[in-house]
Amino acid sequence: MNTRIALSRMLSGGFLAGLLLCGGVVSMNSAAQPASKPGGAIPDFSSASKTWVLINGTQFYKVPGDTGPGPVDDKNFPNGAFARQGGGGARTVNRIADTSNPILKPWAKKLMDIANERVAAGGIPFVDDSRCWLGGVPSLLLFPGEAVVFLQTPKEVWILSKRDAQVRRVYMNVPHSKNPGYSWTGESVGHYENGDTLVVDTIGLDDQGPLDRYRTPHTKQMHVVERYRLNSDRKGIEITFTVDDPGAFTMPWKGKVDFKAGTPPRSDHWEEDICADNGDGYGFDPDQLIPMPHADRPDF
Amino acid sequence: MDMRALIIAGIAGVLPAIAIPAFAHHSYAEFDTDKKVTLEGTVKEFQWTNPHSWMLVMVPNANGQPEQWAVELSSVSLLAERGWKPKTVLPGDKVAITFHPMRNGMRAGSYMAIKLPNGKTMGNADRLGTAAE
Amino acid sequence: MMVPHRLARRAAYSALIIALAVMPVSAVGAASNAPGVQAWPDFSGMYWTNSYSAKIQPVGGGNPPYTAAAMAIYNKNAAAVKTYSLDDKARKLCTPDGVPRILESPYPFEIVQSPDRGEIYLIYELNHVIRLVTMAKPLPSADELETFPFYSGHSAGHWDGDTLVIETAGFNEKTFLDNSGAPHTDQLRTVERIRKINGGKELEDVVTVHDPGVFTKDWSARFVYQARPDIRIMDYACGEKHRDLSPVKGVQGH
Repeated sequence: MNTRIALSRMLSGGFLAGLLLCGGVVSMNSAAQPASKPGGAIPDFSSASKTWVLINGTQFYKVPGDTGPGPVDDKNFPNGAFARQGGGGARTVNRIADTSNPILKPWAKKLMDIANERVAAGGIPFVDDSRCWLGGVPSLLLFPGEAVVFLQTPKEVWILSKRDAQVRRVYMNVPHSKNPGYSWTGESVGHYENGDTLVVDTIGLDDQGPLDRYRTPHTKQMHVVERYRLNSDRKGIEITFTVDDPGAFTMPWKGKVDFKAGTPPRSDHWEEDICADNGDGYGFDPDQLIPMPHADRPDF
Repeated sequence: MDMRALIIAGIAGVLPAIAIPAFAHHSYAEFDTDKKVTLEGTVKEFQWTNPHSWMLVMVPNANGQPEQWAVELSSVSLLAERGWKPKTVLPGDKVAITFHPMRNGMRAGSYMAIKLPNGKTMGNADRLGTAAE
Repeated sequence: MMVPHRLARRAAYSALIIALAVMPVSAVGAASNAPGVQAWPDFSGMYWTNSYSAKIQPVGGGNPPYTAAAMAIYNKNAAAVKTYSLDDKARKLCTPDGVPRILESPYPFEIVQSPDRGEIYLIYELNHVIRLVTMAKPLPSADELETFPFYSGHSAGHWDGDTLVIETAGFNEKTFLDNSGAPHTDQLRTVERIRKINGGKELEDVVTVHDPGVFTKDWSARFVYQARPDIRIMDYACGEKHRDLSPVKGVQGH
């Protein structure tokens, strides 16, 4: 139905039609956002210009009640202690992965042990968003300190991260494609549950980036299911996810992070924040730098 | 770029899969906040960026050859609060810049104060022992 | 009176209660910018041009009206483009192209409308550029635009009937105006008038460029995109292989 034709018919119907126009057309407009109603089907992550920001540091936590081993944790500062370290002026300690986590297949553990050794010897750990890499899934959940915005329409949900303008697209209420290929953010399909949860199912994830800040690798077989549960006070989102990657892990495992409604000065609104804008590692040995993504030749 | 290949390359003795948090917040632990250095030089570039702005200053070394020093300043919002603008400093400006040097001896540091071509000074050249602003 | 759609009738009934409570009479039938109250034309979806020109084409032909000094800079830049020696971070490091250069992009883009937030997002596949257009507020102050310059500028939009008007200012000086090295300064301001044409099968964007730092007068360029509901926008990682651009006439090698 052509929205504009409907509009002009309604406009000609007088005042009452005009009132119906305001209510009716919002529902016909495919771009309109479904309003959240008490007990309604769609949790509202978006309206009132809401933004969200990661809390409790850049790591995955164990899901309460999960009997499995949970995500890779810090060897020296487990259970959230790393995030609670004093900052500003204190010597930085770097993340050393606890590779005794039984989820790790031997090849993954070996790579992570080597990376641990390098870091313990004074090397600086690889962090994807520090070198302007695209985030993957679930690693994009860990992009810190800046606004995350959800845009919701009936067919598609966008999850935008202000930090380097990263975009995830969730195609709603459709199955996965037969051959989605492989990309940084994969192919995500989703639906709502329980009136408060957005479920996102992602496959087709390329294997190039680490999935966390402990340099945990994964393969192209990785399948991630995230559940974004909007808290009843609408001031927080609890995001729990399951990772199933028989190429890298001995078993599926679960992790979680929490977002809260954004607060100033940097996390309460959208502004432009471009990673490659920043000086390329001034003050450090250039031989120790992993290159930022770059193109030697333009592709058009 | 295959991350696994980079890590595997580390096994073969090539430099390890490490990277510098160019984008992430530098820890002030990397700067020696008990020391300060003042250099006079010519501004090559003033990068007005988040999370840190950078001033690149060409300073003649002992042989008279200009070398680039990179001085890290605050975020754009914090600088703006202190009266900075993107064009407060322009390429070609002759400045005297005071900063906490890096512990690793590289030609970089954390901004403390600056004297602009018109003689105006900004920042605080006397504050040691705390993270620079 | 006619209620053309069953869904609308159900929604309209409950909406009517709310509408009666909160809607000012002056908003009836009017295209206001108050989020959720007006009826926004629907430009949402994917778009992809089928023709590309590296050099921006002013309406009426010829070159953009450069000052003599700017023309000299342009000639230098254009020569550097040919030898890949232009310091072009948009192509080398995939920073945002800026406006109007991003309008030339041979990659697709999408428009996402959120009346609830009072915002429209233009999200480009190229360099994963996100342009936020605030529909409910004016542009920030001149001081704020000067202090917080963006690659894509700051955009404020409003509806003029069926046309989306986007004003953009507060650009940084790290971009070029087009893909042939055209220069600009931070005095750049643009106004885009975007509307559907050709029975809704295409989207037209006429951009007026104002920059007394390089031009002797304002001038306009026109871009046309095909509506492409059949495609999906893809990830764009700098330096990796991207989608096949052979459907786009005028792209090098195609």
